[in-house]
Order: sequence, then C-alpha cells, then structure tokens
Amino acid sequence: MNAERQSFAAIAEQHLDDVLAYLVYLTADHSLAEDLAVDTFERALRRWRRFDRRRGSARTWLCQLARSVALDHFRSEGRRLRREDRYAVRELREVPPPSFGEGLSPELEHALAELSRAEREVVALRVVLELDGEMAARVLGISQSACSTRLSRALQKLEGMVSAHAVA
Amino acid sequence: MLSPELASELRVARPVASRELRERVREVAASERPAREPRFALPSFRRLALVAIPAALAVALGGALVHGLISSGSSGPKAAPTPVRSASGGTGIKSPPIQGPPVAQADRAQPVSPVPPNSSARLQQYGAFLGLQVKDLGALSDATKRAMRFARDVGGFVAYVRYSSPSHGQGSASLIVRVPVDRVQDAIEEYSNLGTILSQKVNILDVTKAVEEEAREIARLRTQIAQIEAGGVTPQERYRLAELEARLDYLTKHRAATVRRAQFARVALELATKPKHGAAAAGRFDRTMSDAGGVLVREAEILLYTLIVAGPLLLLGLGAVTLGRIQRRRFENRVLERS
Repeated sequence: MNAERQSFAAIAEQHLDDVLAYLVYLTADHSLAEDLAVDTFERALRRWRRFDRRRGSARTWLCQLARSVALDHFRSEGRRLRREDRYAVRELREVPPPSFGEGLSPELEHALAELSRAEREVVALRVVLELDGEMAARVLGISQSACSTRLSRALQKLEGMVSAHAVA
Repeated sequence: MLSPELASELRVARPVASRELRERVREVAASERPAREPRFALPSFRRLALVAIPAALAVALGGALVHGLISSGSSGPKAAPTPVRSASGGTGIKSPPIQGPPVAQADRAQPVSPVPPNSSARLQQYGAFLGLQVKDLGALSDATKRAMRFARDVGGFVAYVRYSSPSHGQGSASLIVRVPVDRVQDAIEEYSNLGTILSQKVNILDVTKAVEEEAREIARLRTQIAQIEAGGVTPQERYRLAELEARLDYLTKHRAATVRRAQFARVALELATKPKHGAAAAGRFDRTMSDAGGVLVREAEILLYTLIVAGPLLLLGLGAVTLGRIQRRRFENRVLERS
C-alpha cells in the first residue's frame, strides 16, 4: 500500500461520520444518506488526485462532494418522478419518518423536519460539524454573509418551533 | 441564536455511521488501484493563465524589439553607407539604389560613365540618378552651383533645385537638370566628380517604335479627314470629323513631346553632407523603436482580428455556460427549499 492510498483510507475513516451527518440533515432520510455517503466516497476516490489541501480541508472537500452527489440524486429523482407522473405508474412508497440522530428529543426532531433542506444543511455544517463561516459558505457555494443570514433564520425558526412545541 | 442546550443536543445526537456503512466505505477505499504518478499533469486554468498571459506579452514585446534591432542593424536606404573610392578616381557604391520610375533599368553601381553611347538612329529617353555625399556645407554649395552651371554650359537647363541646410552643419540639395542627349555622358562624368557616389541609376527607354506608330496613326487620321472633307461634310459626319481632328491634334502634340523628351536627358542629383556619428547612433535607436512599434501594432491588429472573428463564438459559449449555471442554481434553490 502506498502512502496516498493509506491517506485516502484514513481520511474516509476520519470523516465518514461528518459526511453522513451532513447528508442525513440534507436528505432527512437515513438510508438514502448512507447510500449517498458511499457514492460520495466513490466519487472522492476518483477525484482524489485532484484534491489540493491548500484550497481547503479534506472535510470541506468531502462535504462539497456530498452536496454535489445529493443534488445529482435529487435531479435524477425529480426526472424519474416526472416520468412516472406522465405515465401514471408511480407506486406509493411509504416514506419513513425522518430521523436526524439517536437520542434527539421529539420536539427537536420535529422542528428539524419542518426546516427546508437549505436551512438544515446550514445547521448541519455550522452547528453539528462546527465548520467556520468561510468553509461553510464554500461548501454551499454562497457568500459568507448569505451563509450567516441563512443560518440566523434557520436557528430562529428552529428555536421558535421547539419552544412552541414545548408550550403545547 | 440557538440555545447552547439545543446546540449541544444536536452535536451529541449527531448521526453516526453504522458498522455496515463503515465496511462499505472501507471497501470503496480499498478498491483504489496503486496510484501511478502522472507523466504530465496539466496545471489549473488560473495558474496557466497567470503564466501564459505574461509570457505571451513578453514574447510579443521581445519579438518586436528583436525585429526592430535586426531591421535597424541592416543597412537600409536610411543608413549612411561607407563610400569606397574606385581605382579610376571614381567611386564605388555600398548602398542599394533608390527606386526610379518603372522603365528599363540599364545599370547600377558602375563607378563612372555607365551610359551607353547614344544611337543617333533611334529615339531614346535617358534618365539618370546620382546620390552623392559631400564633405560639408561649403562643398555642398559649390557642388550645387557647379552642377547648375554645367547643365547650362552644355546647352541644357535646370528643371528643379532644392537646397537646405537646417542645422548642425548638415544639409542636402536636390537637382533635376535636363541636358542634351549627346552630352549626357559628359554630364554623368562631371557630376560623378562632385562628391562620393552613394547610389547611381540610369534608365533608358527606347521610344522609337512608339513614335513610329504614332506617325503612322497620324498619317492614317490625315487620310481619313481628307477623304471626309473631299466628299463634303454631311451633318452626320460632322461629329465623326471632330473626333478624328481631336485625336489627330492629341497625337501630334504627344509625338512632339516624346521627341522633345528624347532630345534631353533627365539627370537627378541628390547631394548630402556627411552625417555625424552621434546622429547616426540616434537614428538607429529611433529606427529600432519605430520598427518595434510597427511590429507591436501589427500584433495588436492580429489580436483584434482574432477577437472580432472568435468573439461571437466566445460570447455564445459564455452565454451557454452562464445559462447552464443559472438553471442549475434555480434547480438547487427549488430542491433545497423543500423540507
């Protein structure tokens, strides 16, 4: 085994949980997130030679790839659904309730499910993975101020929904 | 902001990869083939542009300067050549002759008397050019006066004179004299002794055939006119007669002028004082800069042409890329707005 291969394996081992957490928050579907995580590491392996540490950490790079893989999935899924709508062959699939982690309170779980994907992914990057503003903005492909605004709104919404649920 | 308790809860309860998933990812990582160092890796576009643009500019500027240096180094018509005295007391020539009118060029660079003897049986128009260098302004003035006097002495005349001595002991003179054809050889010999010959050219144009053709045409026209007049000019023939008379008049005058020109040779003289060394050096620098500027202008023209030709295609490509990005961004926003 050469050093580069060991390095990729080590990085995959090190950041698998981060990638999975990000994808779970983005998709709100644990099993889909697991499949997308595998796809992400396959894509990462293909592009491993092009990875430049000077342009960002491995975790940021992997999150960018994970986001790209997820968006590709949503795109192909959207096409599939449109095709099935056209020919009226869509089968009713039971969607499992979203789960964002073991041990989360039902209020928080419910509030997270109510957030949009864009809001959940910024929460995942900034709160769960604790990326700084610059790195999170780079993953999302937006400016730092836009990232801060989105995070602020998401947290406000989250806090509000958790409080409302607790009062009820 | 989110309360610390909620943030802590989110972090503690974050999703963790199951053993199965971890195994799947390990398999992926293990499927990597031994990496072989690429023989040649293309640098990124930005890095390439950072190197390529200054390099292209440097090549353009360097090329223009080298071209300017090479062009100015070769002895062109602007450069003052080193005159060489010939053994016969005449002079040799180092510089190419100045281009004359597009007539038969008989000779160049012969030291003295390159004019072939005139054949009295034929009509020939002679033209000669001499570029001469004289020592100083005094010599320039003497040579100009002597050239004019000689033209008159041999029965000719001065058609044009320009004499100038702007500054710094430098000066030049241009003369055009007409001398009888039978004295043109003497004139060339006389003028060759006025200074050092820098360039020399002699043109001879044989007009015998043209004059003979004109004579035949004149005779034919006269016969036609006589025939028309003999039979009485009808109103229909009046216009035709006027045409023939006009043509006859033109040809008669033209023939007379051709014959007259063939009787006098045209000798052009360019006299100049010796250039100073400093002036020569400055001249070379100026020429280098001028040539380099010319090359740069040409390069800019080529670049502009390329941009004009390729511009629409580039704009189309850019538009397509931008449109694709906008659509992608819209799709992302639409997808991510869902919960």
